[in-house]
Amino acid sequence: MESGGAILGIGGLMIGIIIVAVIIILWVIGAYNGLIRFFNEVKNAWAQIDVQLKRRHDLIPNLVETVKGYAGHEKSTLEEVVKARSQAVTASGVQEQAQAESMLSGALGRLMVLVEQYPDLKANQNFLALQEELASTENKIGFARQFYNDQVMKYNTKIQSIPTNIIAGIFNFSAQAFFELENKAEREVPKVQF
Amino acid sequence: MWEAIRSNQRRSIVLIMLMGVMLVVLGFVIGMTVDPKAGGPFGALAALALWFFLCLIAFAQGDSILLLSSSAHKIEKEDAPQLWNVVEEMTIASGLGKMPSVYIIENDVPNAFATGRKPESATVAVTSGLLKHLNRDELQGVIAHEIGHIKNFDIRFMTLAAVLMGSIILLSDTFLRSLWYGGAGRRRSRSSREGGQEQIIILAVAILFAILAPIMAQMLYLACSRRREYLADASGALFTRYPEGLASALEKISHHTGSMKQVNRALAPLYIINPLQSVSFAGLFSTHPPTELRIKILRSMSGAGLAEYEAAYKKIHGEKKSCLGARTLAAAESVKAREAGVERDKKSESITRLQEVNDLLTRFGEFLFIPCACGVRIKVPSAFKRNSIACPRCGTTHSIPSAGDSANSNTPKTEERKPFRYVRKENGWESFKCSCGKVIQLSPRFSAPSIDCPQCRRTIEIVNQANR
Amino acid sequence: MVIFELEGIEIDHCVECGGTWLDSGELELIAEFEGVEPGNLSNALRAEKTGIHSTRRCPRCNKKMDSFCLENSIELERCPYGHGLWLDKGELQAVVATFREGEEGIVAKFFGNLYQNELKLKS
Repeated sequence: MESGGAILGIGGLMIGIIIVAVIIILWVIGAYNGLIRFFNEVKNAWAQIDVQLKRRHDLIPNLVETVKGYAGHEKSTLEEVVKARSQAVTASGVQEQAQAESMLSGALGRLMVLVEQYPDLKANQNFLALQEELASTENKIGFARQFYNDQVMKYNTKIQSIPTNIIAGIFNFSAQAFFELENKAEREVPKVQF
Repeated sequence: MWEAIRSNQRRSIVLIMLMGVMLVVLGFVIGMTVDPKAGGPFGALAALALWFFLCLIAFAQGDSILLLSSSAHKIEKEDAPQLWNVVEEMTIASGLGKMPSVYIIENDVPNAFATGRKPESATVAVTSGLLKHLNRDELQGVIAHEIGHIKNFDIRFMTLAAVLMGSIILLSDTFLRSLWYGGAGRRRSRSSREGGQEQIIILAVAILFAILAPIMAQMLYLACSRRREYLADASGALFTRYPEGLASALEKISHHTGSMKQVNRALAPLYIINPLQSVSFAGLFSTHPPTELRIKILRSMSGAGLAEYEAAYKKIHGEKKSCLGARTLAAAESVKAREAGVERDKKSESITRLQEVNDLLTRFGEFLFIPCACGVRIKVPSAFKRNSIACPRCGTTHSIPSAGDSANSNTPKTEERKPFRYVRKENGWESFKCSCGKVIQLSPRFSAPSIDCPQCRRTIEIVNQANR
Repeated sequence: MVIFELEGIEIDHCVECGGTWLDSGELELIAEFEGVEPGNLSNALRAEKTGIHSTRRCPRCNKKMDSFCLENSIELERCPYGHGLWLDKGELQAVVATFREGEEGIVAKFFGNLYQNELKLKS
């Protein structure tokens, strides 16, 4: 009788342990997948920023050419834009990219102030189309950044909060950097509407 | 956000079920008037079949229903770059996977709506009036509101509900009409001989129900759409980070409601044939909460996040009732709004905007553009029979390319932009006349290879003698 | 019908009869560009209709238009569904000649400007 009860007890314990183990494993899988999903969303959001940044880089040579036709002697400002662009193109990593891009935004802002002095240029249809394109790309970068930062915020909160932080620690999920343009360079940009 | 969307979905299911019951009862009662014995169940089945059929059309075709109305045009980026860009911007801001297709509807009443089966294959449509009257920030606000609908899964449920409402209206309208034209009169006289009073009572009930059902359906539709409007407004503010844009757009749109009623009445025939389109069209701003209230909420937001919208909503209503749901807000961060862009010369900007929209519409209509030297631009339809037209302002007679040439009337731009050349004499200030008559001035600094005439928009090649 | 556009405002003009069609909203635009509140203007146009059904039809919806009197002197036609306003050849001249001030004056000035040559020919 007694041994039978012990067997039953051990068996029950075993079943209990197995059930708990299965639940834990399922939870780990679920949490891991959740983190991966968040991580991928961050990556997707970053890809969107990347697309728009590339688009801006592509537009700039066109813009510089058009402006040159009317205001070719404004060399220093034009060169500044070209230099900032090539820096931005070669930049890698979120932090470095953000810095290079805000330099570029600053240079573009100064160029646009300059353009105000050339009515001929401002009347050029080509330039106007380019201006809308550039302004919109600027907006899109802004909105993509906004979305990216929102996603990073969600992701970072997730990997820091209990209990998902355990999974994040085991599988090496690290916090992602925000894409901030709000540094010195951007604040220097005069307010202009493209 | 998710919580509010889920709660909206639950409400929608209840709403759709209620409306479905209404439709079946309506079908049953109408069936009874035709034949008291077997008519009821048959009518109910017919009503369901009608709904099913309309849903099938609505979901299978989505965009093509819009296309059915001749005044809607699907546009590409080249047609309206700014609108396209704004939609693209909001797609990015909302994190929507795919950009919705964009339609312009020829109608001077500023309005917009979104439709589609799922967020990945949605459609945003705006009227030409909207493009004419709103500036970029306001347009962005409206598009953000529509994308908010798409993102919040509103469009599918609303389409379904709109179709259901359309079926109810269609059914009761046909029934009442058939009574009017005497078809039922004959039946009544015949059946009164057999059935007597019972039949008359059934008929009275059917008439009452046919009058009341559409009103009730609309009220149900309204009840559900309000919450979605608030949520879409809140997401619109969140996406643009600029509540003022949407607020000022709503203000401008509401100024035009006086003429909107007239348009609705004009659209009434459409309403019956095409419930999906007309219902969502007419319903966009009328099924919404009072516009002044929405503007007030948006204006009193201290930021641009959902939390700020909720706070503003509570302040305006002076009550604790939440409009977004508590669990949505738990995840909502407080978000800073951005500052307004600097508006440039207002008059000239709105004139160029107007010209762009008008040009776009006339291009849809295959018009030929004739710029006159005095500033008037004459637009001639391709079916125009005379071969010349006089400018009303300066009297210049313009010849119109004959029918043989009108083969390329699709591309009036090439017509406009014949190569024109000006050779510079020296490098000082110089002025010359474009062939359209506009005097163009070149500054000493001017060194571009070409200039666009601000009046007729043709490109003029500038040849610099010094360079030769 | 051909379209004449001046400074962004589009006017439809019938070459056969010399009449002019103004889409609803265009009137307000003219006033808007001159910095005038367009409210009064459209109120003035909401004058009581004379009851005579015009033989002309609205070019937008093809319904018969209503005649109405402006300032008790000039008879114009408008679409009963609010699609716009129709001015016959003579009516246009009368509008330009009558109104000098206020919102109506601004509209008259615009027409005077656009139809400069045609009006000159007649006088």
